[in-house]
Amino acid sequence: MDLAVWAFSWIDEYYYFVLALFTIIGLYGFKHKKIFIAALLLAALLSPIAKNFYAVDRPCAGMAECPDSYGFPSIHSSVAGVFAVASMGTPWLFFFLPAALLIAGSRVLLGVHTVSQAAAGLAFGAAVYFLVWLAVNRFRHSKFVKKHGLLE
Amino acid sequence: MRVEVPRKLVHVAFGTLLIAIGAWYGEAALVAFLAFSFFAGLAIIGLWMLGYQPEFVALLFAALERRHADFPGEGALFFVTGALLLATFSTNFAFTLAVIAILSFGDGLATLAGIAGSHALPYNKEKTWEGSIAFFAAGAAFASLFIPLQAALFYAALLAAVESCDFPADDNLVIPAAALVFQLAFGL
Repeated sequence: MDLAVWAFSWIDEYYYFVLALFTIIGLYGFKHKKIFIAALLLAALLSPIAKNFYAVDRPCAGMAECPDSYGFPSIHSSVAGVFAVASMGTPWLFFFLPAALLIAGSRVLLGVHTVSQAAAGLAFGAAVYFLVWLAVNRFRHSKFVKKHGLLE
Repeated sequence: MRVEVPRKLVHVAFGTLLIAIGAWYGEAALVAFLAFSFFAGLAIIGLWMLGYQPEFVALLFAALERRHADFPGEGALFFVTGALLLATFSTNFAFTLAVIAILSFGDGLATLAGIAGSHALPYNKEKTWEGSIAFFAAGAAFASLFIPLQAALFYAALLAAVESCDFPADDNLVIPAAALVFQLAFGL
């Protein structure tokens, strides 16, 4: 248990480094790289807006080491959700699917999110990716999508 | 037609299961079940796309998958994702169950009535009046089990209008997302 908390705390501390590394892997290995980047940016942009809109406290609110922001939905889980669905159809799924589960679970274990907040983040990230993918796929024969290679 | 009927029956059955879990065991159990289904679905579909195709999954996809799906299990995964989004973002659990009822029974029966129907909507030739009316009637009837009748009629009408439009996305994602926006706008 202590090892798990240490590992999760490490991921939390070096989150942006891990995120950058994962993004590079995604750009290298995912099927729809441009959709992945668009969904990642959208999820990262919209999740904090949703947090401030819903204004739901974290379970650790009031404690010394609790992050100074609202808790719903979890941004870590939201980003993890994008990675999990974007890796579908590639061998990276074997890495990013358990990673998404671990990252979402770690937020709950560290006490900074409830299960519902973490699950909301996952659903939000996945929905953002699917909606971007569906929109681009719908217009796959258009000049714009072809010209910019949005399905590549 | 051949694939649509069993596919929609499974759609209705899965929705009924979600409602039963939510009604009997509560919100936390529903969220946990949907999160589990999301990960399990992603794993099965992801493995399938990589070539791991067990016989029973092949039979399931062959019997239940929509004809023009971009990947196997597409509709089911979107349904689970949409329901999870709804279950976590909705501020009223009765509303969550009502929208799942509309999504399951309304959308399910709309497809079946739409196949039999012959009067196309003026703004969307792919959908029929029969389908939209079936969506509204079945959706309102089942949603009224969880929310007041007036609210059930109101939200079923709004979501029937959404379902009848030609959005560049799947109904299983668009309807829950639209329901959440309507909930913020009109309350409940």
